[in-house]
Order: sequence, then C-alpha cells, then structure tokens
Amino acid sequence: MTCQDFNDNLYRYLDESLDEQTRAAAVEHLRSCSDCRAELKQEEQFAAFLTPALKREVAGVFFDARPLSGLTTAPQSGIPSLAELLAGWLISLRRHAGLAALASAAVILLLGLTAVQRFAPQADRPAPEAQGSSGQEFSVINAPLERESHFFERSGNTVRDGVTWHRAVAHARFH
Amino acid sequence: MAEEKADSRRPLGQLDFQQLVESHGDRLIRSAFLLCGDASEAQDLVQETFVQALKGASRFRGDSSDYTWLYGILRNLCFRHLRIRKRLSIREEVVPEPEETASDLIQSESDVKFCSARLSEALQSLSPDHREVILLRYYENLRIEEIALRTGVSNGTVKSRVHYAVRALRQFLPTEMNVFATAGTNNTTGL
Repeated sequence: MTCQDFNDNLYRYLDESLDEQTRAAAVEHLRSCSDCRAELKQEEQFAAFLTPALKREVAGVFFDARPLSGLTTAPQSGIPSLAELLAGWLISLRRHAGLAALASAAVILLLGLTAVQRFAPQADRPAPEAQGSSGQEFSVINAPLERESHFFERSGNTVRDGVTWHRAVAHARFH
Repeated sequence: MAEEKADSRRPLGQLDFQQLVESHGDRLIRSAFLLCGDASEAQDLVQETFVQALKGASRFRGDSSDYTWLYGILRNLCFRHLRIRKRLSIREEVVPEPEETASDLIQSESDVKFCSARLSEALQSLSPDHREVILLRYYENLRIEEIALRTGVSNGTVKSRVHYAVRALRQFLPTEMNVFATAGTNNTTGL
C-alpha cells in the first residue's frame, strides 16, 4: 500500500469498514510510514477535539414544540387540514416577514390613494349647485365642458356681434 | 450516533405526531443550528420540517428511519434557506469589525466562549456541503457510507468533502485551539 492508497482509505480505516485484506495492508503500511502515522494521529486528535466542541456548541439549543401543539395527528389522507394550512401559512409568514410587510404596505397605500381620490375636492370641477336658475333642483353628474356661443345684440340701428365662452356642465340630471 | 432502525418499515400515518416531535425535535434543531448558524432560523426550519412531514406523511414508505426521513426534509429546507440568505447577504453592506487577535480574546473572555465563537465562525466559513459533512461526520458520528446515503452523493465525494472541510477548519482555527496541528508522529493506534 502506498501513502496515496492509505490517504484514500483513511476515513474507512477509522470507521473500521475496510475489508480484512485492505486493513492488513494499511496496518503494515503504518508500521513503516511515519508520515501516514502522523496523518492518522492528526485526524484522531481532530475528531477528539471537534466532536465535544460541536456538542458544546449546540448544548443550549432546544426545539420549542409549542407552535406545533395544534398538529398532533398525522393526516390519514393527502388533503391537508385547515390547522396544517394555517400553521404552514403562519410559519411562511414568519419566515418571509419582509415580503408580508411590503405587501401590507402596498395594500394600505392603494386603499389610501383610493380614499383620497374618492373624497378630496377636485379643483377643476365646478362646485355643484343645489338650485338652478329655473328653480329646479339638479345635481352635477359629469365633468365640465367648455362651449363657445355667438350672440347678437341690437341697439338702435347697430347690431353687435359677439362671442362668449361658457364653462358648462355637460350633463345634468333634473328632478 | 448510530442510525436508529427501530422505527423503520412503519408508516408515519400510524405514528403519534407529538411523539415524533418530542423524539427528534432537539436533534433536528441542533443539526439545523450547525448548518445555518442561527438558533431562531433553526427553530423555523425545524417547524417547517414537521409541517412538511405531516403533509407528506402518506408518501412515507418507512424505507428509512424516521429521523433520516425528517433529516432529508430539513436538509432540503436548510440548503434552500442558505441559498436565499446568500443572495440577500450580497446586497448588505459589510461593516468591518475591529480586529481582535486570538490572544486578546483569550485574555478577555473565557476559553470556552472563545472556542465557541471561533468554531462557529470557522463552520460558517465553509460551504453548506462541507459544513454538512462536518456535522454528519463529527457531530452525528456517521461513517462515510452512511453520510453518502444521507446526502445522496458517492463515497468518493464524501471522502473528498470531509478531507477538504477538515483542512479548511484546521487552517481557520487559531493555533491556540489547533491542538491537533502539533501532533507528533507517535503511534497512537496500537500499532
């Protein structure tokens, strides 16, 4: 067995999963190769250091099963129950809190804009009048319209021809 | 930690879900913590693992142990989570922390805290694939063949990943912790 062969089989040697023949060759190689003995010892020492260190690292970590307390029965069919869907949705919501906040902000903004459009007074629209010149009540139901009209005014032997511009309501509903 | 075969060949539909959570919750969250490095994220990931397990319970044929099946779900969630986190972290501005040498830390904190911080940092410096083999090899104490089955890659790939990850960890950990780096050539294997 060469050093390369031993390195290839190092972890399986430590796992004691080599076949008899390969293991005997590895042992024989270790007797004569100080480099591979050093490599083996380093690996053993690394494992001796790392395994307890990792266990210490996670010693204070425990799973909080309370959020799953409603999910105590495995479903008998492939159709998820309402509780599962709700739990899954809550977990997804918690994991994607940023996205949920963004969506909520967008909805609030949309509702706000709609409210402003609905209730804000519009500057270019003439204020609806409660009473018309004829005494009839009417309400404005459409946007204003500009209209040009000619007029003739007679004064003695003179006729004055003029043009006036009106801002008129395009449609009105009379009661 | 040897693989548990007690629950093999038993469909999950017959299991008490609460018992499953109690039996494997802590072990799963510790694996998730080592993989993602954050206890809160690990809690969420394990919760989602159980929810997905419940949804897919009818498809579990009992070919593997309950834990192996749950770990498979957790690992997929963790890797997906780490990919998303990596994409997000690229956009974050990195604020450089003041340099603190290993000797400073040893003087100011307890050795245990120092080791924990350094080890956690060292683990997070590895890729998720390499971190996972460290977890399975040195925390779960699995053999190469068992890791290959768990991760779905060949024995050769597992050996290569373990080899690379161990070298990377040795380089990252400071000399004060790196006791194994000073190993001599003495025979410790009874040869």
